[in-house]
Amino acid sequence: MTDREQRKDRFRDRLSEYLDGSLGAEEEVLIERHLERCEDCARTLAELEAVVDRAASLGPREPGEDLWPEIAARIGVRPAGLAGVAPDTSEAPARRRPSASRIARFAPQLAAGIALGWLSGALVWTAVTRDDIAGIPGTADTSSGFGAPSLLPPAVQSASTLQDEGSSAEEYARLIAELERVLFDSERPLPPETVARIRRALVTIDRAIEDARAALLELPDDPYIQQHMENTMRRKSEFLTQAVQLAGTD
Amino acid sequence: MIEPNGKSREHGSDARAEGQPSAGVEADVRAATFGDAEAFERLYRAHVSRVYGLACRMAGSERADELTQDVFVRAWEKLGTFRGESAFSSWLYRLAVNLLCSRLRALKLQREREMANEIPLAVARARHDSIEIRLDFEVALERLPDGAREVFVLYDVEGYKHREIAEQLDITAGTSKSQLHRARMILRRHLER
Repeated sequence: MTDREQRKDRFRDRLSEYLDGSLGAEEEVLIERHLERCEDCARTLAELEAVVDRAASLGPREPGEDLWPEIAARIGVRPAGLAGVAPDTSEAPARRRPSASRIARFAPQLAAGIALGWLSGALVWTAVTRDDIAGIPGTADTSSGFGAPSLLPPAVQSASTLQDEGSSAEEYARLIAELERVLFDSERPLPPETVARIRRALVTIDRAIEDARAALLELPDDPYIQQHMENTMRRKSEFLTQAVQLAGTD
Repeated sequence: MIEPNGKSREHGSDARAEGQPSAGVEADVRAATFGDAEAFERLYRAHVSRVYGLACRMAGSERADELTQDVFVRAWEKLGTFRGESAFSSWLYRLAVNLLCSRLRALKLQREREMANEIPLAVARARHDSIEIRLDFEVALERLPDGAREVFVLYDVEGYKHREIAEQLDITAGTSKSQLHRARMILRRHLER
């Protein structure tokens, strides 16, 4: 390779940087002087510029097939809705319940609390009713069920109405306070073991409520957390309502 | 982590999304953060073409489907970390670039492609020079040698800086510059005329 060719290569190797404006002023001047004399390098520069323009014009590309069904399967949801597949009405809600781990990433305390709350509402109550219903005066015959609200105090009798109307967390708090008063301060006390089990169940529910409250402090206007707070309070009120009904059934 | 900035990169709707995210996007992001899969599907459909294009150019179209899925699965998992400090599209593409770069490194795809693609491109170039057969620019881009291809995509297509690319690809800024020049020099022969 001749000296002239080597010199030309050195200039050509810097053309991209010249094009990007990343050379120093002195080098730029040298390149420009060379370009005035070298037709090959001037043509190369024009081609490089065309490449850069072409790259800048590259737009998005559509995948050959819809990738959503596979993604939906991997994230654990059904590929319904926008893809034209009929929504699964058996599960109904458009808003799918997030997994505990997803909530945990956003508000760890909320996730754990809500999970405990849901569990307590179902499992713990089942345990209480199965094991202790016989211990509550007048409840040996379970056929009477939980549906007799006649013995509930007036403030408590409105519980179902409250729930139907979508009450606020504050209203549930008042209802819960009334239910707890009736349940634990009753003239006809429940068996100690039953009280203990109910209190243990309430610990988990109360933890869920506290966690929801903490999350609300972080995001006070978030409708989803507000809804969870309300739902958790409602579950506690339902739990207490059933306990009061059992306690009062003769 | 790589951050897009500097270069004049605008991709139509994406540029709009990065500048002024619509209320609909914000609502979908918020809903998806709390597990709303339908909202996440809307986000997927709004952004898949750019993510897929990036995956094609970075890793080749044969792997693009899988990698695009990986990007959106990762986005779903990481949504809780999105704080809205940047546009969702910026966050998503940054996540995509990071995932693609790390995946390419992990799979050692670079070396495999280096071996497989140098020869086809050289042959194509020779044929182009002799009988005027031109490769489609996108195909030529995908067949660039690894290293050169990634730098070219990140710099000229996606608008990242050499310093950022160097950090992401674990190379020096000087290597990034030389790989970019190498890529451009190869591609100039495959421009549609």
